[in-house]
Amino acid sequence: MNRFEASLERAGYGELVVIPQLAIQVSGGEMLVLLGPNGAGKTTALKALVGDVDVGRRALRLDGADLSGTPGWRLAHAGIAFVPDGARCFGTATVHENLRGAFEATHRHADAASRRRLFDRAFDLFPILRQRLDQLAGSMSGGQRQMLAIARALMIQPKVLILDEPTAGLAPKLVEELFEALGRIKTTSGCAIVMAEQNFAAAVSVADHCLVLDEGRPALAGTVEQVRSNEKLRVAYLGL
Amino acid sequence: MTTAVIQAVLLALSMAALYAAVAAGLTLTVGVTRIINFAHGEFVMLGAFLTYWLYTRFGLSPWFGMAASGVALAILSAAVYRGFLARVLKQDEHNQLLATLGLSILILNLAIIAWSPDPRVMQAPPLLPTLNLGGVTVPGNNIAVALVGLILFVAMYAIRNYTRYGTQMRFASDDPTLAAHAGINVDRVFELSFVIGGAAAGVSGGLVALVLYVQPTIGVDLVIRAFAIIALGGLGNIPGALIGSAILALTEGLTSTFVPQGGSWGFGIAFVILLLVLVVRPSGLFGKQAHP
Ligand SMILES: Nc1ncnc2c1ncn2[C@@H]1O[C@H](COP(=O)(O)OP(=O)(O)OP(=O)(O)O)[C@@H](O)[C@H]1O
Ligand SMILES: [Mg+2]
Repeated sequence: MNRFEASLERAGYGELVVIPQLAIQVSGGEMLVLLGPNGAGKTTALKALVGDVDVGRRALRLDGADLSGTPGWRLAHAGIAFVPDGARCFGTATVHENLRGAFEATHRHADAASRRRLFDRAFDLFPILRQRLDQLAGSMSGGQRQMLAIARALMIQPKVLILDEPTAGLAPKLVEELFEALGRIKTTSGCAIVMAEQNFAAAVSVADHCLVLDEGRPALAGTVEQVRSNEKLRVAYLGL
Repeated sequence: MTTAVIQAVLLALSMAALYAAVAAGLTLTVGVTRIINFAHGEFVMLGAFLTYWLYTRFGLSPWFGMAASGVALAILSAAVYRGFLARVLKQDEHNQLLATLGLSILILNLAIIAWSPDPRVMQAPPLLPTLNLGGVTVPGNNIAVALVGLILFVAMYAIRNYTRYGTQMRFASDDPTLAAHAGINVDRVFELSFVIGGAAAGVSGGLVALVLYVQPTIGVDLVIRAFAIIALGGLGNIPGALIGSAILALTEGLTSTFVPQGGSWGFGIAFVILLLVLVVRPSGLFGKQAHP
């Protein structure tokens, strides 16, 4: 069922507290989109979830299991995948090695059958990867690297997929394709998705819930419909 | 004259394999963790002493000595990593340099106090029969060194490129944070690469005992060459280091053999070549930029 609940207190950088307090919940098969202007604290919030920035307190629950004290690298083993911003990949490794390495890191006695299945699924979502298997990730375009980054996250068979602005810097057509792929991931794999995004208009096509951050504080939360129909808030926070 | 040249080249190539063995472990460790481990030379020296003592005190074959040195230095490396380097890794590079340099000097001086600075020669019976090809002879120990050195080298290359741990090592050095997100325990992977590098240092110490002399300062001599080789080949470029070893050992060996009083020149000329290469190609001879 993949129910993911998290709460953060005092997330930031040393003395600087960017997120005083934040709680999020999302269920399998749903997407929560985290909105807000530049500097609102979206990246900080996501990084705090996976333990990449300082937090005063962090509570994580996945299907009732308490993951609050779990160190960053173990979260992947527990089924929480994080795709940071900037389409980061292991640049000196090939596409194939990027995917295979991620699979092997989280599957102890790797069975070839499930590896095959996950590879096929990645190629099904992003066909270009199949053609570029032997290309060095560092030499791919930004859009291709973003697809690889998402495909790599899927190799750990996540229950929760956390994405930081996956469409930043991509051409409109690619943005559409990527959201379409995320929609398929959401509905077919049953994983819960948390995604930071600046572009509300584009994100609503796949998102179910929405949380708007304003200077580190949750300013508005609800289903996508509720937020869309609340004109005053929409204008104030989303400029739509 | 030609046999003399062939003879000198073959001996130089066996030295190249020894240098390559010393550089192999170092390039793995440096390539993965970015720790410039000056103490690698002292690890080699300790391996040489262990192999030497096991033979002279207990009559144990240097084959066994090499293996035992590999295991012993792997264990020491794990202790050094956990007790000391893991903490320093989180600090800036200057501190890391000073830390491993300090460790190197500490081990060196303890060795001088305990064992005196005098050189010793192992004088073990040759491990392999002497090769005799139309007047050119290569002593069996040089053949053994060349073989083991190459095996060690290929092993480092294979571990890094064809095993799941090797992939994790490359991920961890490419982008440690991203590697952690992929489920890799970066600290363990760094430790593993350090331990494997230490084991390689131990085994190459056994090779040193076979064909060179055993002396506390031998590690310093070798680690300087190893750094030169890594610079020639390009950081983290394992095949590049192999060719770097050959270049260094050949210039050194041929200079010593054919230039009057070349013995003292060889080392210097090898480094002139290194400096020239670095001026022309700062990322090494086989220079894709090592860390883009
Ligand atoms: N490494 C850092 N050290 C100190 N302050 C930081 C650091 N990274 C971000 N900040 C600050 O934290 C605040 C929130 O930044 P954050 O990157 O989380 O915003 P964001 O919502 O992701 O913005 P964007 O849409 O531009 O990615 C900003 O004021 C920023 O200056
Ligand atoms: Mg951001």
